[in-house]
Amino acid sequence: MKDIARQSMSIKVESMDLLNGQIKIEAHASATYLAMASWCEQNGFFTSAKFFFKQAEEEREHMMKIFNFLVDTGGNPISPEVTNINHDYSSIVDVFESTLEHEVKVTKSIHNIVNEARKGGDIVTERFLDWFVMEQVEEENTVRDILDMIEVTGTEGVGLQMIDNQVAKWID
Amino acid sequence: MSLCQLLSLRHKVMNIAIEDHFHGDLNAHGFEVLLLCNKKHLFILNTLEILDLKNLIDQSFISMGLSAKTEAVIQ
Repeated sequence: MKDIARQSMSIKVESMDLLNGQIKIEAHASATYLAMASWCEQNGFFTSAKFFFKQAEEEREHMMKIFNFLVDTGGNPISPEVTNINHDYSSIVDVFESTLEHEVKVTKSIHNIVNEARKGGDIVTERFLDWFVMEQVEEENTVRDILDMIEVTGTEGVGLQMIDNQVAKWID
Repeated sequence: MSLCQLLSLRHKVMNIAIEDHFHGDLNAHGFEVLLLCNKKHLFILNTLEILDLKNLIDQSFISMGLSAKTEAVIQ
């Protein structure tokens, strides 16, 4: 007998729910980086603003990657509602520290989906997320390197201007 | 009903905050309006019917083998 349901969908519904949650997280990250870019522009950190504009685009690309995966597997991707975006930061250090916190949250969420997919025997979802697991290692490393550079440069005198100039290294 | 329509129904039903039915201000009447199959059908359901529908949908996906819970049921 034909298994019509299985023929229509290649992943488990629980994975679909978690991936829809991840779509929301990526959309929130994209909007948060846009808010950070806005803060940087308004406070004279123009290179950092460019960095966050690029990060915002990347997060949206991640979101679309998951969205299209759900389309390809016959799932039901949900366009996310994005609310509660913080626009207030006390300094450029605060901005980058918040970025690292955000990336760690994203990493934890992806690891959780991988673990749940593994428990449910959803090999397709598990393999799909391989790319995201490695991408998060890179994302976290970039922000950690920037925070290390800030620590070495210091924020006294022309330090802030030097920090902003050096962020250019991580834009490409 | 196609699987896409069933997935859409599942999303709508699973997103109903049943706790709101027990809160006088959030859902004073205790009813939910559901539009199904690209707005072809309209259902008005009370609290108990919503609970039954949530259970029915959950069990449907288990029996279709599209839920991770299926493995547990088979074992």
